[in-house]
Amino acid sequence: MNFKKLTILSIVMSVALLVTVFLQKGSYVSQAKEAYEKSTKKTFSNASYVIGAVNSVIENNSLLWEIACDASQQAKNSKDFALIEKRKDTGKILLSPDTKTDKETGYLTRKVAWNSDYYIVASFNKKNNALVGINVEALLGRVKEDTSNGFSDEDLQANEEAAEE
Amino acid sequence: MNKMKIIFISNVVVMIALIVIMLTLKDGYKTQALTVVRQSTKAYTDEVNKTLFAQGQFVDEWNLVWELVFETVNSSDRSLAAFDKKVTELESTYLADAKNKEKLEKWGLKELKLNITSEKTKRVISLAGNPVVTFDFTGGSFKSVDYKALRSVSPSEMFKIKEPAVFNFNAQ
Repeated sequence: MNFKKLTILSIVMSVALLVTVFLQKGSYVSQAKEAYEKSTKKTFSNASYVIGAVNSVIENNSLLWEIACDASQQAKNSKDFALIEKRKDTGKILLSPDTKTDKETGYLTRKVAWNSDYYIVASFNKKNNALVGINVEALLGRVKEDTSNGFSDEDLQANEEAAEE
Repeated sequence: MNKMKIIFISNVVVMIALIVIMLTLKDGYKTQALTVVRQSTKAYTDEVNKTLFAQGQFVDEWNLVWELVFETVNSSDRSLAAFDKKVTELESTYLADAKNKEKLEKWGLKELKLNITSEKTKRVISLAGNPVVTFDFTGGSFKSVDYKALRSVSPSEMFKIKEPAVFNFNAQ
């Protein structure tokens, strides 16, 4: 009787083993899928953020470049410059211009920006309001450190990190 | 009793065989899982990096083109020769920057050259295969520049990445 029970038990174990053989693949597939999705979703999320941010910088800086180039050719004074600025900013992305007097040159400066990193600075003669020049160094990333591509260190770091992942 | 004995022994043999099969398959599945995850993840990362690098290269070229337009409209020397010299200068300045050299290396390039088509009185600059700026030098000196196409460049159409593909355990 005991031997009979042992035989039945061994058959049950065989069936359990057979089930395990069939199920173990599923377990590996599930683990592999989880690892793949975790890794690729992180890459997708980081890279999407960086690509979106850089696309946004290209689009917005394009407006600043256009204002700088148009004004260089058409603006004679601060009034002309402000008019070009207003006419071009159809999407209303620009912040309120920051105007002040440059202590070194004595020129009246007008800083046109869409965020704190990217801007152009137009200088005007205080006596006759004539446009003296436009500084585009911030668009070229040359304000603090020369990166020559118009992107802040934060953008660059994010881009590199996303590329490494 | 003898019949039971035969069933028991046969079953033990089957169990041993099943254990051997299970362990063999286990190793195979483990190796396959590791390989597929590594390869699939790398393939996706490579695809994403390709877009990131293309965007990085585009941005640098795009900036150079805008800088060239800005420098040209503000230059006191309006000759075609001065323009051509300015192009070379901008490209050399770019190359002289250590950070740019690092980037070029990553993109597999030795230098960043603007794509310029030269005509007798015109210089047309293309970005990503599309003409974006036309400089007019009729009479030998700078007359006008058309950068409307450069302004309308839509990076969001050019640089986007796809979501990762559905995981396929049998993809190798």
